[in-house]
Amino acid sequence: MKINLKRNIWPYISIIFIAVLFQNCTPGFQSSSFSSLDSRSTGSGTQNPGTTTPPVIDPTTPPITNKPTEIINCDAPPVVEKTQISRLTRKQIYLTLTDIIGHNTESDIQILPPDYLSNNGLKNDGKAQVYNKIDSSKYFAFFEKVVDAAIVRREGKIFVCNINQASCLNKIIDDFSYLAHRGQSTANFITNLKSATAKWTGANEKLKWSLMTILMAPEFIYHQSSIENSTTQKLNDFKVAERLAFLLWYSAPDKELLDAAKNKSLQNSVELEKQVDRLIANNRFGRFTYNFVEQWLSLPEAQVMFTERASLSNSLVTDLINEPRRLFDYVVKNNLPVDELMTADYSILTKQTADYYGLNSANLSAQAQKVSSPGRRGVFTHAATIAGMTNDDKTNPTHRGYWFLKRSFCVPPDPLPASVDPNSFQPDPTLPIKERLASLTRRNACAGCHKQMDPIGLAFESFGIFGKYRTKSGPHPVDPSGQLVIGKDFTSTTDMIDKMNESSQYDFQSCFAHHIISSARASSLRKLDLCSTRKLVTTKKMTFTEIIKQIVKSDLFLK
Amino acid sequence: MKKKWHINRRTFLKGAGYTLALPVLDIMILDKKLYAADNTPHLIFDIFPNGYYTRSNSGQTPKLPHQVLDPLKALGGDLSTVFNLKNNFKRPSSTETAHANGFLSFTRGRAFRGNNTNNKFHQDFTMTFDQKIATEVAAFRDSPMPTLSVSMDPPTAGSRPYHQYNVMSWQGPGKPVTPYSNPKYLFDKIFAFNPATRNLAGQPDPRGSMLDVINESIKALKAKGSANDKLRIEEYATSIREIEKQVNAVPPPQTVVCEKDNNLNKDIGNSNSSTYIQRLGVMQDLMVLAHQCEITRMSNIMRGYPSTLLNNSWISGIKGSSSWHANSHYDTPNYQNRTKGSLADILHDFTKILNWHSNNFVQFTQKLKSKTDPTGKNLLEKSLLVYGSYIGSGPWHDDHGMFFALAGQANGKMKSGVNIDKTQSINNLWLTIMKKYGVNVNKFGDSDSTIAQL
Repeated sequence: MKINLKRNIWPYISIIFIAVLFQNCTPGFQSSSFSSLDSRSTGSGTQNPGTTTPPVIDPTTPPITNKPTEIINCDAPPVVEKTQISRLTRKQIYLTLTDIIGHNTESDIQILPPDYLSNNGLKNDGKAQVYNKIDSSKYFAFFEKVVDAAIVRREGKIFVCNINQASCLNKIIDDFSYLAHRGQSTANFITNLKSATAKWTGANEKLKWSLMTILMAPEFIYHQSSIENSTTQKLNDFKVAERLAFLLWYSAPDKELLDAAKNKSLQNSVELEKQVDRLIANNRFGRFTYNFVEQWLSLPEAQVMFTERASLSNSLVTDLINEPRRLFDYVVKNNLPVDELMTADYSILTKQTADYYGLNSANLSAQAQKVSSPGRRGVFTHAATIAGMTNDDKTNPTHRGYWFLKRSFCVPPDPLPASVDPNSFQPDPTLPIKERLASLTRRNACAGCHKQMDPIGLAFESFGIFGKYRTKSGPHPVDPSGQLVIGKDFTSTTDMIDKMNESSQYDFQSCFAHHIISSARASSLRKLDLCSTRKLVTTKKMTFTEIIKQIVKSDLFLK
Repeated sequence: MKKKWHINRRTFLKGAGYTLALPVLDIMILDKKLYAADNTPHLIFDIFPNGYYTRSNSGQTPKLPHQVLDPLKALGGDLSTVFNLKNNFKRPSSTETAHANGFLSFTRGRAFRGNNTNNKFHQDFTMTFDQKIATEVAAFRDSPMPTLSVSMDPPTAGSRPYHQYNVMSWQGPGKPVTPYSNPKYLFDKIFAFNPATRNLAGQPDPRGSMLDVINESIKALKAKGSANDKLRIEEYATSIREIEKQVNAVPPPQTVVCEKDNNLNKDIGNSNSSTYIQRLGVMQDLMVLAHQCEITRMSNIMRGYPSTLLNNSWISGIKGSSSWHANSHYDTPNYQNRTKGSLADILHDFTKILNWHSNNFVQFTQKLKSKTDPTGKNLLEKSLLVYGSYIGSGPWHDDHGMFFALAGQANGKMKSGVNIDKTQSINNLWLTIMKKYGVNVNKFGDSDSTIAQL
């Protein structure tokens, strides 16, 4: 039974994840390789009921994965993959409308079709988006509400002249479509719209339906970067401007950026860098900090954990969720290398967050401030990130190891082979977790991947499901020490992260760039593309702005 | 298996939001003027200040507020009355807080702890119950103006912003729905968005030509994209056709439903010189229009703020020139020095004032009753009006013996012609209204039940 996973991925992902989580002998699945999950039965184990059971791998057979030390093979020539048309996310629509039509109510975005997450956590991945027949009706309802409200309040961004005059309405159509369509309205569209408005009656009605038409047109709702996107052809200037603004502002480009595109000045790399500096210095860049970090570290998952399972107060949950955002903001504002996100032995904490961590908070003020955080290193040891790694009552080292490798260094192990029956692994539940998993890595078939994930996950055992430090897990003491698959021994979580950062096989900086490129292209990159990214950010200790500048000048961004 | 459900539940909820939202969307897609498809009732609060004449000195059992009640009898079967309501959150006190606790705890289901001088005062402006309806019920939330608030007093009195005294329409501390006190501004606001001021018969439906323009764009885009992109754009085109179907199923209205009334504009005149009577009339006309045109589904009017200095000399038969507030202290010995005239005259004037407003309220309901929609229902049938004051007797700012008149059938959701006389919390009444209007709530303040008879 073949199922078109592109159309409806999420339920399958969750089914597979459940299998992954509760059957410990599963290494997860590779980023963005949906094609490898070409059958529902792979994950759910419900294949052909009544026929033969799947073959169980003999534990003595040799490993089926790559050599353990070879984490990524960059010998193959890099290929820039063509992206796919993608819709704006709810947040992007909301923020764009805020910018071009003035205030609208954030809670209204619930009317819009939901965003579908790629398995990298991306919300704008064209491949993962699901299209439903009723979706346009939802856009229609939302836009009607926003436009009506703008007309009722005589929104200054729209009412720039007397709308009772035809020339004024035409000017509004030109200006508004320029912003809403990111400079890409066709002449045909504008002509059609203007001749349609001439037939309507009533100044308010004309204005309303003109704005509605512009917003309902595919030029507003879609990123069309894929339309001219091939390995040989560069994007046109407006599409570059669009990619840049939706990356750094989560919103459409402003007039200045569009005009730069119109004048072809974005083709000049000095001008392009100037625009990058301008966009990062703008207040709207706060949206990148907010939304990118949220998607990268799955903060909504953490929010559910904190509120529903830990029952923490709203204000504490907000502070905890904002901790990685605050550190990110600190690193960008102070022009520190992005590596700092991985290595920082301090964090930006409020008093109640410090209390939550059990730090001495006597001298702290209620505001967020830089505090040294012993026993922790960077965003992956923040309580929110750790809580986001878990979606269970107890910790799952395999899952945590997989998640960490994927989000921090972009080197998740290969997917669970279809021939493996996870049910064949039933360790004694009374044993400490380390011993239970050890019986797994003794099996050759499982070892290749589990040696990559499990030691990392076991080091994270020092943290409970809500990210608090602990020395005991149930009746057993926690032993965070272990050996990385590259052969290095470590004694604790921080030691492990330090050792990984020292090693050349694990490269945080290029993985970080990899996530940014995925977000910019609205398409999860393949693991293979990490090689292209590595070639892009070769200098050590690059700052955020430097990385962005490298990215926007590269083919991965411009094609 | 328990754990499995945790994830599945979240997956399920994502899906559920998707399906459950549909009926609402259907309504939103349909033309707003098609009343037949729409049965969410309207809600209007008409509040006057300074209480009633229900007892003549402390200790007496409250008597019926006849000065208010008698004119209301003209409403006949459209009227319900609720007597003997209590506001248990009002604290007896001798200072500013006595007033503040009375009117500010009245719609919030909680006590006001602070006063104007301590910083707690501000935090106590929590959400009033009407805003739970305005923000949680889709039909209200999705109106162009979720709440229309009107005040007959100016926005400020001296250094004090009067809107603090508005007992309705607060969304939370620092978030009032600012009331309109100048009819001119309200007129402009309402007619900035006027959905139908003309005969639409034979006019092109803008929605149809909008879709034509969009379909052209889709065609052009499809010519350029890759195979995958074409598939996506085709899916988009399919969902656009879905709107088309709905548009075709629902023809645009052929007749004018509500019309811009330019005479009204003349009536407004200069708001500074126009009288209370003129302003009140225009404000009520504008409220009726806003409801009729579905620009709002919830409105409220404060006929005067607590302690209002509004003068009432235009009411025929008034003897003195004291303010409404001064007249309301008809039997407070220590207030006598500050009001002119004998106690008997003050009481006479107070009765006149209340009488006049009750008569005016009846006229207001008749205006609503005269507006019918294409299905033949009138606005009064589709609405609930809540009329009353936020305290019991005037002089003592009583927290008991409060009285409310309800008019209209709220689209069949409320029973009219009912008389209820039982000592119970005012919050029972608010809870009843919230529940009838679709708010998912089981308790409000100290409510112990809904009022079943309504």
